[in-house]
Amino acid sequence: MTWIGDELRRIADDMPERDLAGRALETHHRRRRNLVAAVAAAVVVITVLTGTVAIRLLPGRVPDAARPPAPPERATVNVAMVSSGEAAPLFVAQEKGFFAAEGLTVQPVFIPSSAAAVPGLLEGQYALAQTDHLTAFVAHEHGRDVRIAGGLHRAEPRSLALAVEAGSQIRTVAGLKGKLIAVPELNGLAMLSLNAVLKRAGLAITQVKLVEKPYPEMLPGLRTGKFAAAVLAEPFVSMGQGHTRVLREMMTGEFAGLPTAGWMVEESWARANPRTMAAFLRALAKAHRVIADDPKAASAIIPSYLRTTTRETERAALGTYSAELDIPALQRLADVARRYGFLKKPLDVRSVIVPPR
Amino acid sequence: MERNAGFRAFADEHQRPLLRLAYLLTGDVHLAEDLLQSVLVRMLGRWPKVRRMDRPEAYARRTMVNQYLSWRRRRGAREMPSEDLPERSHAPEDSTVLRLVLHQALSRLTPKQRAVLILRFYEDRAERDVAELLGCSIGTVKSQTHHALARLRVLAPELAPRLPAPEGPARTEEARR
Repeated sequence: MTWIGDELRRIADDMPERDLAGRALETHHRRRRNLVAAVAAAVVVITVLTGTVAIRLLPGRVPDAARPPAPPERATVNVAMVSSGEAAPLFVAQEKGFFAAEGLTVQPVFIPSSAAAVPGLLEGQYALAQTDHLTAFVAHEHGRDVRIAGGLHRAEPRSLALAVEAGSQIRTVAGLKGKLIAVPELNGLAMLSLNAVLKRAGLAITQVKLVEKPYPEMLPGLRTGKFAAAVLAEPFVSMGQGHTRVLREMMTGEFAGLPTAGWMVEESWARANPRTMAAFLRALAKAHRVIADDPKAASAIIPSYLRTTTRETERAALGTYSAELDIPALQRLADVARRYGFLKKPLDVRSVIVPPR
Repeated sequence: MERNAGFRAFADEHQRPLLRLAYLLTGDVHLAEDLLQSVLVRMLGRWPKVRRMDRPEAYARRTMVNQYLSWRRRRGAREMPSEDLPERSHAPEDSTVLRLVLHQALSRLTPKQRAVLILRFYEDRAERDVAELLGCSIGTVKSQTHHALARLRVLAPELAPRLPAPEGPARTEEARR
């Protein structure tokens, strides 16, 4: 026994007696309960997350949304659409039977441009029509009873391009002065972005000549020299590769990421046929999810309604197929249109959208 | 519950000496309780395994020393605030004063030095035993003991005559190997 050992024992005697066993047991059980609760909570969270992710990742197996008790008011609807890659979701929905599942027969009608659909829409010839949004804005400003019902497509820079024949002497946009340019319509988004492209090159729209042509006629027209340049939409930009030259990708700058296509209806028709419209949009939303899951679904369907091949459409800058209406982006589009004088008055785009029911 | 009963029996038998050890290590009543408490909770967590051990109290000791060392490490090895050593005006032979001096000098050692001293002299363990408990070599135990005692002599010279004799140079040499 050392002195220090004895002293340490005496120091240890200063420690009062305590019974810590009960406290330890309590802490132990509390921690166990907390652990069990945390594990249970984690299981719940993981289950919910997995469920949500699974539902989003398996669009094909989405349980059908609760369908309204009554069938659509109309069994058959004519839908007007522009011949370009933008319309792909409609044909995906058609092929997968999503319309049929809603009790709807959709008959696509091709139109040269979305502005051309407005009269047919108002006469009841079409139930819904593809719009580049701007045509709906313009029709609305002219007091037409036209509303935007849903989204369809958002561009990437090359989705719309100003192109000339490969062997053309025209090297720059400025070189188009006094030349003839083919556009899908004189009032739409393509025309608006052509205005912007020419302006950036120091040209006014009045310094070129314009001719309206549907997209499928533009490549043959360029080849035979009917016009010097054309505004092409995908997949025609890719189809023209080799014998055309892109002067300028058009959905750039203030046009970057703008929504380029959606669906418009006559408001009185939408009010009278709410179930038909909802069924149409529901079926399309399923098609959008199929494409979001597998973008090849879009490039694979395009050759079924346009004269092209999968090899060409797979190269195409098809942009994004989005069923959502991006209100801020639509407002940006309206503001640009106002700046270039396509709209006479400032427009709040929310007044042009079918209110959600 | 069987677990509760077995654990209670263990605690009744061993918590007194364990608490004393905890007090010597931490030098503070509350820290000592915390230390033992955390050791007991830890043992409860693996009770089925602990119960089958030959000497669960040895496991508790080892856990306590390691926990104490890692605690001190985690808390930034911050020295316990300790007042100055008492004035040397009173008779240094007074054993109560000497004990107080020792207590305070201990609190100025590093945790590891403290642990080694306590295990060696309070628990009367052989160097080999201490080395095993701390998970270090016998050489380390020897050198730590040597440094701890040397430091005590510097901190409290009046304790010097009562501390174990410093080891000869030959033994220190051996310890270093």
